[in-house]
Formats: sequence, structure tokens, C-alpha cells
Amino acid sequence: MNEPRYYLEGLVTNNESVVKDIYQKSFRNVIRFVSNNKGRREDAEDIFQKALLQLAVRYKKEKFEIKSSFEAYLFTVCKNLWRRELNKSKLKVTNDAVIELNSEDDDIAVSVLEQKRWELFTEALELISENCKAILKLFFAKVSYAIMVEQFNYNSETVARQRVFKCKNKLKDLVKSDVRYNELKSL
Amino acid sequence: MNIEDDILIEKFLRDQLSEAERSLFTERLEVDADFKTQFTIEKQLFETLDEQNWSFIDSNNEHVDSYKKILASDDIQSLKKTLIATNASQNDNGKPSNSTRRLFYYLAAASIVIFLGFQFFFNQNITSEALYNDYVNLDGLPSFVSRNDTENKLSEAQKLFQDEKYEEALIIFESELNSAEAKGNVLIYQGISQIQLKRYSEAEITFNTLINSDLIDAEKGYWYKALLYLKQDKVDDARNLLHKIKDEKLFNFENASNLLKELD
Repeated sequence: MNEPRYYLEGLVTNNESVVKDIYQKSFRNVIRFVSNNKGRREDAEDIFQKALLQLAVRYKKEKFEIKSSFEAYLFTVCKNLWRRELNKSKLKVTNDAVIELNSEDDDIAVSVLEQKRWELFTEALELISENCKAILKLFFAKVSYAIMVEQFNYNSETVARQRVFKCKNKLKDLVKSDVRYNELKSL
Repeated sequence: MNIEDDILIEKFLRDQLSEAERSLFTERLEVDADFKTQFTIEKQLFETLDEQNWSFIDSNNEHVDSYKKILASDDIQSLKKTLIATNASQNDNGKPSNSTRRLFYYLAAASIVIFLGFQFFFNQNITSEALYNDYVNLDGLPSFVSRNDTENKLSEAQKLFQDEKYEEALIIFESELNSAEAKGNVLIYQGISQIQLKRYSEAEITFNTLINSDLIDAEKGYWYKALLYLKQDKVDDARNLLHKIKDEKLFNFENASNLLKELD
């Protein structure tokens, strides 16, 4: 059995020594990350528990593969859950589709799908050309076209905009052609 | 999609449209299905790939329901309990909370007074037993949560234990051990019941079982075994175990270190 599967199986079979092992290996890093990003220890505890439940529920339903080490993967899930938590306050003021405040179980169930979407999008971004990836990263980080013109030596903002448009279309084509997108597109 | 629509969607997502443009935009979303599809994927990309943002999904859909069903299953609910227990043991390493610690220091101070008193009037046997009574903290043992048949029986046994009906409690602890979720707690109760009934060699076997298990509570076995030795006035054996607890920072290491001071 490979390493991530050993941990995932341990979670779904409620193996206490595997759980203890996961806490000993990964918990400290998550506490450090959350405390360095506007959170407290209690937030880290909450995020860590939710992350492990997210993995267990997902694995129980669809036996997914983790391509990195379990530790690295778990850390990414925790980071995303914390990003989610920090953005929750924005939800209340957003003017399209008001999302109701969810129960903890709702949160975990929804976070499985959000994590899957995050994985699909970030994997697609890795598949396009280096140049496209670089310009899209600036674009999604809300860097202005004027700065892109400077950084990439484009003739004008119109050229930069066209480049972003093309690269974004490539990214969208990759996402849409992925079977995983069928489940996620209408959510 | 043409570049004009792309620019329009971008402006909407970056909140750069006027009030009038905005309402035209939302009207178009309602009537133009193709435009809505384009908008949806753009919005998802914007929110997912902007690291300051997050793309939320509404919980009102069948996929969420299917994950929620799994979350409610017995397996995952048991895992949840394990996570809570493991988190708690990470949190304080078995250290008592501030208020119990304060109470503990008070009791420790009081017990030293009693201890000094005993030294004048009684033999060592009674003092060890007094220390055992001070430190075993029967009221501080964890409770069993009523959830299913096994746990209900364990709650019943816990009540018998609290009423000092150790013999009857022990029968239930022993028979329910294998089907219990909180095996560590059952073993602790079982061992202490055996101590109270003066079945010391049985208690030692129970605590050794706990120590050699792969349960979260395994390390608690050392603490209770040390108390067992104390109760039997095997002061040297107790001291050895307490040193181990203190040095390896096992469960209750602070109490172990205080108890060592009292034994010296």
C-alpha cells in the first residue's frame, strides 16, 4: 500500500494510532501557518479536524489518489480551508447569490467539492505554456495591464489584453475537456 | 466568447461597472443561457486562482447531500470522536486545566501538611496510601458518552463505580471492553476498580495491557501503574515509573514531578 493510501485507509477505519501519527507529523505546521495568517491556535485545531474529515468522507465515497506525500497534501487542504474561512466574511456582503451560513457538516461536505475544483483549476494552470501561466498568474492576482505591458515588453495594453484572453481560453478549454468538470460546472 | 464580452465579465467581477451597466449585466444573465455559462466559469476561475479569494459552492445540491450522508455514518462519527480526543491530548498533553491545577496545588500543599503529620504518627504504609488517594482523582476520570448499547452499559458501570460498587462495575467493564470504542478509558476504570478491591496483581495486568496497546490513552497506563505501586507501598517501583513519566513527558508528567518531590 502506498503512503497516502495507508493514511487514508487509517482515517476511514478510525485507526487511533494512524490518527495520532498524523497529528504528530502535521499539526504543528498547520498551527504555525494559521497563526502567521491572522488565526489563533483554536482556528488551527478546527481547520485540522475539518481537513481530516474532508479527506475521510471523500476517500470513503470515491477512493481518490493523492499524487504527492500525504503530509504535503494535507497541508494544502488545510491552507485552502483557512483561505475559505478568511473569505467567509466576504460572503455576507457579496451581491450575487447569497449563500446561507452553513452547519459544520455542510461546510465539510461543500469543502470536498471546492477542494476538487481547486485541484482541477490549479492542475490545468500547470498544463499551459510557461508564458501563459506567468501572465495569467498576474492577471488573477489583479495586476494591472499597464504593469503587464512593462513586465512582458508588450506594445500596448490592448496587446496584453489579447494575450490574457488567449491564455484564459486555453485554460478554460483544458478545464472543460476534463471529465471532472462535469460534476463541478453547475455548482 | 468574443473579447468584448470577456472584458465586460472582467469588469463586472472587478466591480468596475456603473450601476446602470450592472443591472443590464444581471438582466442579460437571466435571459442569455450561453452568456451565463461563460460568466460562471470566469467567476470560478477568478475566485479560485486569486489567492486572496475563495470560490464558494452553495450547499444546496445533490453532491453535497451525498457527502453529508457519509459524514453522518457511524464510521465517520467515530473518527470525529477520535479526532476530538487526539486533539485534546495534543492540546495539553494530559495537563490539567488552570483551575484544576490551582486546586491541585492546594491539595498538594494540604497533602504535604498531612504527609508531615503522618510521618510523626504513622508508618510509611499509610502515607503512601494517602498520596495514592490524593493523586488518583477519581472524580476527574473521563465520562462515557451514551450513544449506543455498549456506551449505555458503560455509563451504568461508571455510576456504580462512583457509588463505590466496584465489584459490580468491574463485571460490566470486563464484559464490555471488547465492544467499547473508548477502550483506554474502560481499562483505566477497570484497573482502578481492581485497585479499590485490592486485587493488585490483576490491576497490574490491566495497566500493562493499556501500556502495550496502540490506543491514544496508552501512555496513561504508566501514571496509573505508578499509583498502583504507591497504593501497595512499593515506593521504589513507583518512583522509577514517575521518573520515566517526568523525563519522557508522558501523561500527567507535572503531577508525577510533584509527587516525586513529595516522596523524597
